[in-house]
Amino acid sequence: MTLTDAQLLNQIEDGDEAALLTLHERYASLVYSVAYRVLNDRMAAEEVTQDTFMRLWDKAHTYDSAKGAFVPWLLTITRRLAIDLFRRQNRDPMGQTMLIDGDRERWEHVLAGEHSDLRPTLVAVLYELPAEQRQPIELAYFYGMTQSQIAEYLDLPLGTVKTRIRSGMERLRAAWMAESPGNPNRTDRT
Amino acid sequence: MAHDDVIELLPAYALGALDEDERRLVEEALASDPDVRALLAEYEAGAASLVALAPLREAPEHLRADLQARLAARRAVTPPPTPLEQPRREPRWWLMAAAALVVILGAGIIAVLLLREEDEPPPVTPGMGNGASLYTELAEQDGALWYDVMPTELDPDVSGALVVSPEGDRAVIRLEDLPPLSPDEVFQLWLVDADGQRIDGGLFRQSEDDATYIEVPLAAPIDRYLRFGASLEPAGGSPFPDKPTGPGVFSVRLEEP
Repeated sequence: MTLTDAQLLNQIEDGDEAALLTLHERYASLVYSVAYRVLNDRMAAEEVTQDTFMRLWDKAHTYDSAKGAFVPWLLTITRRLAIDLFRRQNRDPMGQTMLIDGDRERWEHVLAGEHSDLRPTLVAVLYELPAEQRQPIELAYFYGMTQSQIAEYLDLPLGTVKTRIRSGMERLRAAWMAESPGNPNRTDRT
Repeated sequence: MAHDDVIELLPAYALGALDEDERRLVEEALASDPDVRALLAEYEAGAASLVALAPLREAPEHLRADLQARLAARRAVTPPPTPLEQPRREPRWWLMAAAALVVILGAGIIAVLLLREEDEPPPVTPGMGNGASLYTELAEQDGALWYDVMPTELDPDVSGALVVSPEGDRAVIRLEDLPPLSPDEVFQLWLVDADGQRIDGGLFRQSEDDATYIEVPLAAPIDRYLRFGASLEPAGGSPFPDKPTGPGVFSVRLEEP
């Protein structure tokens, strides 16, 4: 019988190393992919991957299913660790590959799993974002840059950056809302 | 700040892209307005898809064995359970023993990773003799800098003060009337640097004395920081290196008003 992520997390809290290794087998590639996207360096991405799972080992009890699905939570840990390393090593985002067209269909397949809250249609909207909106969003999401830092980095007015980020995020929010008819928080807002 | 202005900041907040001042305004609104919290949850749900912009790569096969070696090394050096005073952190000699064990296991890269953990900030514990005595020492110095501890909506009774050495290289926070903690909760200190980045300052619980003293783990002079604060977290602290998961407990503003 295949255990769910929640069951494995419970086992991890009980000190079951096999449960951690099972989650590693399930998600190490996703974690590694996100870490590599930020760091563009194999060894650094490996380090963050292992740090993510050791942090999961130490802090599995901090996951709250009421606040969201496990996979996004896990990948947020990865992204935060990677950004932290990125900053400490003073890397330059322009030294990384920008606006990479990721494996859209593969992500949609991966994220459509029963343990994920990341819906494929949302991924489609993401890939259809105009480049001018995607770029500042990626700089914020993958490199932890603030709007001010992005404006300076791209040599754009701060107001322009704010507008582009807001517009792109509005589209993602609208797409998520459109796919969540049962979402208890769904109300009309402007 | 007007409600509509806060709403406009939520998309960037969901990305973690706000500057320090705007972020603080949003967090004040989040603490008091459930509609703002609900709307933020929608933006965060949309933002979760951004991970799909990462090209998919297969994790190297050796990572599984490496993880097993890490777990084995941790198992070999973890001391017996102690009362919840500080997060589980191996003291220096345990690290050296772990490194030796790892060499025996033939996983040299793990030794590097374990020793690197010494770079992490030390845990902050309440009622340390050093905290209270250092506070007294700094308070008596001419030219010491003082800042007020400001409570949050979590508990308006929290009070205290931050004292900083005249050189700006040592600081202690004195806290009174911290809210009670359950056995599975802990406070986590956060430092916000001049770039607006949050840094984990360690975990602490309230002292059994009238006041709790926390020596702030400064890695730079005080003028390199914007503020300090603390959040209420589950035991072991936030799973994220730079982001609290629980409500704010207090804050200390350092910049000039």
